[in-house]
Amino acid sequence: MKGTILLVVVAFLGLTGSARAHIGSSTVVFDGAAGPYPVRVIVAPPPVVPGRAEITVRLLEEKPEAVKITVLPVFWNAGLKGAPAPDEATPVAGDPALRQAELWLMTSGSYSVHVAVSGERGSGTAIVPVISVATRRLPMSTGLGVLLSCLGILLFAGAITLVGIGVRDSVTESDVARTARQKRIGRIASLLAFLIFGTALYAAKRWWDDEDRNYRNNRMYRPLPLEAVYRNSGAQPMIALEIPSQGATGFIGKTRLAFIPDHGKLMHLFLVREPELDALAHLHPRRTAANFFEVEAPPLPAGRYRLYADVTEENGFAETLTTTLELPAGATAADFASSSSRDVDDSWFAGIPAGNGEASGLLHRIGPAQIRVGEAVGLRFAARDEAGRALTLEPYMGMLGHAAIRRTDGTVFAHIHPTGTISMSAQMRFARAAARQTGQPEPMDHSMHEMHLENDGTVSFPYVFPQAGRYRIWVQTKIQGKVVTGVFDVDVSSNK
Amino acid sequence: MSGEVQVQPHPASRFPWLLAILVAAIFSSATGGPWDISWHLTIGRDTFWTPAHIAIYFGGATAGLVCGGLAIWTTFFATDPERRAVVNFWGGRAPFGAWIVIWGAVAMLTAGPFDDWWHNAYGLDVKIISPPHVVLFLGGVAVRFGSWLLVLREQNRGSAVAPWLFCILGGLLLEELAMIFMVEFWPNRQHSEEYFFLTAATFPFLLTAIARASNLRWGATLAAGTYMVFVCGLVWILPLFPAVTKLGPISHPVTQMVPPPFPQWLILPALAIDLVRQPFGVKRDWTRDVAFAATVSAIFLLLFFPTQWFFSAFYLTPAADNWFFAGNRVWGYTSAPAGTPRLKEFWMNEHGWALVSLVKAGGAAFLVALLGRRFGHWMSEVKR
Repeated sequence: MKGTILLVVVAFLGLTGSARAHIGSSTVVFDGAAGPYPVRVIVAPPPVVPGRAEITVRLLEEKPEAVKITVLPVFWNAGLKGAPAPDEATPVAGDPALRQAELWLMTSGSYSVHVAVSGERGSGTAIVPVISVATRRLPMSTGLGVLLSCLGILLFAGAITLVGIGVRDSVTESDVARTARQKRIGRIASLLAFLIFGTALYAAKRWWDDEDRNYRNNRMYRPLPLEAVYRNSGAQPMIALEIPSQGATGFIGKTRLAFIPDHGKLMHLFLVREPELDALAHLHPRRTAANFFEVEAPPLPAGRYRLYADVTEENGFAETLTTTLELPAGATAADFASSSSRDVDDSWFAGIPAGNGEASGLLHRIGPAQIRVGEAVGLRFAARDEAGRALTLEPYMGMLGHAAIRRTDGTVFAHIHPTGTISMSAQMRFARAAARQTGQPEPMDHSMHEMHLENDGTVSFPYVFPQAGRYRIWVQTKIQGKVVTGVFDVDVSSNK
Repeated sequence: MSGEVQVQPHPASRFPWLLAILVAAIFSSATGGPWDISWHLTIGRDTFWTPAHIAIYFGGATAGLVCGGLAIWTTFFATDPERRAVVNFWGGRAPFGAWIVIWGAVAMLTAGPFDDWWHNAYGLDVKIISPPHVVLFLGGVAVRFGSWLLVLREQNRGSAVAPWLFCILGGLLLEELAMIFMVEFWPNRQHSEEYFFLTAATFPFLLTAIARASNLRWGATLAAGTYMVFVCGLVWILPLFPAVTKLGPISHPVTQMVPPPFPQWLILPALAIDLVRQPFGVKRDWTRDVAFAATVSAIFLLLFFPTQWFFSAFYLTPAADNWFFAGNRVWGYTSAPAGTPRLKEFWMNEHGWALVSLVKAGGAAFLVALLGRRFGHWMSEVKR
């Protein structure tokens, strides 16, 4: 049932191949807690703005009790003051743990959706950042176009005929009583009507074209452009990034370069070697000037790389910028791994999935067995040593794991966490703003604390695959103080 | 000619209740339009099947079906004299007004899927005026205008009740005009040059046409009175219903359905037009028509503009802030917060008043009144 709810929306969202936070993957998935209640929130944003998003909230408990769930979208600069009453999420037939509702996203930009759950155990709110942008220009289907054209021609011809009848026939007693003069006036009136209505129709067509052009040029989302070069001038080769300034004034606001750090990093950069997808790097470039970032080039095999840079703006708007870069052979200093100048959280990996598809080094994929388009799944991985004993996972940048998911042809790329697809810094920003507005203490920012979380050696990433096909997944975590990467292939089947 | 006594057999005469249904359908659409605007100002979001939308479509569909049925019946089942008494359109036979109503209904139906696609392609409504909405408006105007002509035909053939219906429907056409330009006619804009130019360029057309074509001594007055009573009905009834705003951000909280502003005082120029028109007669004569148009222009300049000037000034004061006038109660939830000075000020005064403004408005009123009078000549001759 939930698959059906999501599938229709996600299926044609998948056709957009659009860039937003992540690439080609606009469904927002969040695993977290609303007070004492663990929930999974999934938001399928609309492809146009203003538009309606579908939101589902699943209570992730053995026996979900009777609770009331409400949802409320809050625009980033509006806040809770001036928000309307929340909508109640209604139960989905056949699935007692699932509720659904609609969110009306009336303007472009960054929203936080407040999901409030209240019941016997108390109440709480989960805050889910959602990006509202127009990503699709809908072409008119042939059938509808033919129908409207036929009706339009009918109306046009009808209008001209009516003018002639009005001038000539309606004022006479009967058809034979028409004089020659009246017939002539009728013809002149019809000709004038043809000219006037024809001009009006032409003007209307121009108006439609203007609206369409305005939509395509000004209202549809375009990510910030990104350029990357490889610099080998000093002792340590660098990757230099630039966000060209003419692309920087996006339609959302003037402050698209006002980035906020996510787990202490202004930018999370992924490099994936194409087309073999046999090398990955996860780097954290430093900002050297308003439009410029740089990072030490890690030891990666030579080749052409696709770059994905995740950033989050001050208003909570998260996006993924992308470009390509050629890396030559021997592209790093010999002592790179122990160099003190690089960010210790930078990691890199070369390798392909193992033959059996289930284990990659210390990491094993333990579920789910079947993945279908449009269904929310928890991609589960476990760390085991050679003897099969569970290994404790340690936080890597504050989280038990990071996963980079890419469809082999590049139309989908997502960088996700155990909390889902959201930008954690956006969520923190909204939570702080909400706390200030309601007079509650601000939530603590745990992102910089390396907490030792008790775990059983497994980590799960919730995700909704937007298209069928083959995907490669890189999973990163820390084991015994070192970053460990595993790579896996999964096949996502269509929902037939 | 108006007042003709020779009665031709006519299909609509066989079904006099047709006119009653048509008038009810027009009332339904006329209510739905401003109701929908109030909905958007108060509740904010709607789907296809809100009561206001149903009222609009029900009116258009009913009128279309009634006239479509009339056309089918007249084409295939009427007697020859009855068929001759109506016009031929692409082989079918029906009164002229009925064809216009059918055209309007088809336009309204075309607007439906077109608007649905538009929302999916370019986003939900934030503007009143979009191409699909224009198709809908044209269809709605045609349905009203066609019904008006059907009633006119009955009047010109001697019906006793048709003259009254003609003026009442004329009043609803005035109301639709005022609704389409609701933003431009907003009380806070009524001291600007644009307001006077636009009212001068629109209302005199209908008032002079009605005055010329109506059989009643006080035809234009009845039409203007209908417009004012209808809008007052909305002003008084809408706020009786509580409502909850469902979209944010809410900058101006509202708890009742927001009414439209108090109607404009069209009854005064209409009364003046009815008073002075008799000496001008009813013949198609350019000299008389020009003189009449000049008189109407003078009436607007000397009577309507000063009335609206002082009334709108009154309207922005606390004395008008009550249920009767609904001054200061017309603001939707996206307006500036209550108490903002801007809400009580006149806007666009930088385009304010000079002698040239009066000349422009007076000139527009003159031209439009002339067109209206000529149009009224044609209307008074509609027989089929």
